[in-house]
Amino acid sequence: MHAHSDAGMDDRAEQALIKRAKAGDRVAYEQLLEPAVRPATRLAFAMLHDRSEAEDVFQESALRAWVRLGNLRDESRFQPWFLGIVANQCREIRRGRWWQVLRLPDARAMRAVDDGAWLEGEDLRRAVQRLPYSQRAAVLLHFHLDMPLSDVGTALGISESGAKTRIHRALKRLRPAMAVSEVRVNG
Amino acid sequence: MADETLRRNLDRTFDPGPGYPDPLLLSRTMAMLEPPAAAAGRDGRWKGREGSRLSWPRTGLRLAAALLIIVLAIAAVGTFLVAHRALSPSVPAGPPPPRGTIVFGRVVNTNDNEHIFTIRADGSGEKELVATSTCCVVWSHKGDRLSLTTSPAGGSSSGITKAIVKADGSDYRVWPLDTSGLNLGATAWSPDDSRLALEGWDNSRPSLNGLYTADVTDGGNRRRLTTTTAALHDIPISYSPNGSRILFWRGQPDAQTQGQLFLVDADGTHLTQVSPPGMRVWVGFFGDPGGWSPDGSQISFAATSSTASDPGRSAVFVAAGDGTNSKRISDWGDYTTSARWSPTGDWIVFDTINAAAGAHTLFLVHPDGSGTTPITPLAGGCCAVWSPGGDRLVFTRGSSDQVLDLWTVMVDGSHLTQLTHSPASLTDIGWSATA
Repeated sequence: MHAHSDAGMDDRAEQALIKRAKAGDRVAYEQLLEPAVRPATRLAFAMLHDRSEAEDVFQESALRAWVRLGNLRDESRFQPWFLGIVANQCREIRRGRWWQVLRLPDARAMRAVDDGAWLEGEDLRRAVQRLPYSQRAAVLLHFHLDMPLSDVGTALGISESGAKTRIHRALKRLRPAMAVSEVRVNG
Repeated sequence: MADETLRRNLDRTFDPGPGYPDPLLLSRTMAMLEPPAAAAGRDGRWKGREGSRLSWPRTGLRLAAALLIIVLAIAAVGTFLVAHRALSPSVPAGPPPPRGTIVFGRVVNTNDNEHIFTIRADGSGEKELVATSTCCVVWSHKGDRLSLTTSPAGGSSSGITKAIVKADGSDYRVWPLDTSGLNLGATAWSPDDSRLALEGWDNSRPSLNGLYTADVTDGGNRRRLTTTTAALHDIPISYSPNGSRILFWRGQPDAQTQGQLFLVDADGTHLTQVSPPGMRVWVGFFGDPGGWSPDGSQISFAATSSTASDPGRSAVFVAAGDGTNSKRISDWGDYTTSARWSPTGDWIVFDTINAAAGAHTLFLVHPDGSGTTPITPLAGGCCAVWSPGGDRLVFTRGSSDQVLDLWTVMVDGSHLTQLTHSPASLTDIGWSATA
């Protein structure tokens, strides 16, 4: 089950809005953007862990998407494309403040998962922050925003199987004590 | 379902809280958009960044400015070269090349495991120390051996112990796993290199968590120095120069900002908190948060005193060698994570965010708090370690925590040299005089 926040906007209606937005219709663009506000800010918050910065990222991404709307291919859906811009913007922000990112020696990180459970709370946050960018974005898009793998691939500019591979690799790091085969990655 | 558990945990962990995002965020964003007429070309196609708030509205002005900058840069370089040529006959010979060997941990992309490498301080001879995944490498004081942390059976649940290897990578010996299940992790060498101070822990019996010492050769003659409550972890930082005390960090194993610095005598008596109550000390990615003065009379460290509006509020502190009388010697800064005394005793190097440059970088300060100096022209530098002679520093530098290389620099900021050229996540840096 995927609880898309843009559910309800059928493909034809969305394509019509995209066409109007590409022609400069701000109202149409706002209608496209509205369902993306919550998933985009949730993604940015998870990537950055800063409410204010996450909202800034949303705004910057919305401005970028506005001027790059012509790059959105025909029949493509808006939200995965837009969330890819958000994820990229988060990466740029993180590059600028890399010193705040924490990392543990492997042995210490391994201890956190000895109890055979998924990481939680601060441990999970740190583990996610330690993931390489592409894996982190893939996990958050799929598990946190409930995006199907095809949309994760669109957002990250990779294939669906590539998205699945990244998520599997990430899961190993989030819970190395658990066999990856135990985790179901929804397609 | 396992995946549902992960979903739930992620939702809880990354819940931004109520009232988020700002209900006016979308309308505020839309108000920032340029009018469509400015964003669209005559043919209706979008014109790159011209509609962005980041765009420069006057392309001609932009080109003129760029040309002016280029002309000025050429003039400055020419002036420098002329002056340098005129002065060159009287310029003394440069400093001797850096000596010794640097060890570091690098996370290898192929398997995301940490591997240990050495490289000569002049940048030559990089090689993997041992052909296995280990971590937490530390030089002995003599520089003839290194200690490592390893999981010989290939999994954390099967036990973690120490290994000792010669500086050339030979004679790799793993301590036998503790029969009772005690894991042995982070390490500090005693001044005579005969004993190791160790972090010991057992997740199934956290009452065993504490600081231990043992013989270097095989982990024998183990002695427990500390006990903890609430399953805290004691991680050794370093012995005092005369070997009588051990500086260590105590905190939750993965909550790096929640710890404090303590001292304990090498016989386990006289436990003393060094960092001020209520302040927090980092350990882990940034390496040791502090260390001893060469004569052992004082301790330097970085500590954080967060506020809601300033979570990175932090500074450099100096305490007496018995752990008392800690006092702040630097201005409050952002994310100061380490403060390490030079072997010559006259400087402490620390890292913090350089507000002017907007980047984390390295500073020097005298132990009395005077002479704070940024080591220019650095940007993005962190986690510096002194050369044995105290004239240079090795540090990590890169565009993110996972694309770092090692660099060296003279204390005066000159002779900035990139040592490694394989950007990766780097940690556990040490510099020995060993050739």
